Amino acid sequence: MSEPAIRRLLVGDDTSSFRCGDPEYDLFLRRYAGQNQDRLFVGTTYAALDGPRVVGYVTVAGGQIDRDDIPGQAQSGLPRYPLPVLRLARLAVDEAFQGRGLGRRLAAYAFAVALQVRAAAGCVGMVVDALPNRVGFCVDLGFVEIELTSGQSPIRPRPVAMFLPLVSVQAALSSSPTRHAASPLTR
Amino acid sequence: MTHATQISAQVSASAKQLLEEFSAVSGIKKSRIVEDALWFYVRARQELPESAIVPARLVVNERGAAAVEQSLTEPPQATPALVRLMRTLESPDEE
Repeated sequence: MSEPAIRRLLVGDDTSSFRCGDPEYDLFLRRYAGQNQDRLFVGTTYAALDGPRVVGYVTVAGGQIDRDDIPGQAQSGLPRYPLPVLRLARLAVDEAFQGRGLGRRLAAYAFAVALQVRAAAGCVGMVVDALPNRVGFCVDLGFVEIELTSGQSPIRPRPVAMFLPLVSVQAALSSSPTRHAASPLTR
Repeated sequence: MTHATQISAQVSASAKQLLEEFSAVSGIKKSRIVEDALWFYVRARQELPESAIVPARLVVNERGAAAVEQSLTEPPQATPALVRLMRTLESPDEE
């Protein structure tokens, strides 16, 4: 069986049979992912396809990190202007395709998109909303937890916001024998 | 605006600055921007459930800011797990 191809979600992609084990993620793909992407422009979903059928997806959205500017609070060395980031908001794989590394490929694809955004418009890092059972996986990748006072993901169970600078992602990509960072947005 | 009334709200300094800058650039009164923004926000929330919305603005507290600053000024070396992850982009179907 060939690996599912990954590309931007298109109208007409078959999302009807997608089942990842979490009904909320299934519903998001079927009802809101396309709307968020093509009508509201608040997030983009990249789909892994087995023929016309979506068997995995990752949703990313542009965002910014701001300092909490509560008066009297000690200020960090962060600049006063917002820091642009790409937020990996959702990632899910159909139950029939779980355990084959597809989730990793979707995550890598999102990281490559972030590198493209960095080059095209500026982006300092990735923020993931890691579900509690995935925090260890993200730590292994180099993510650090960031405490938020607002902007937390609404999904449940409450995820942990984690940050990884794109410098590290670029370094990981550069250490590979061949490079494909340009692929996601140019195909 | 008919039957206008007054409200006050505590907001972050950056939100206040954004409001003032946008008002200055667009020439739209601040009260009009706030009122329009409120209507847009409520309408969007009626169309999309909370769980489908990804907040665009992440506000970090002091510890969060320190963590981000540390990551940016001294980026961690790519971990073996991250290197392995990025290599998955190189499968034959990706070429």
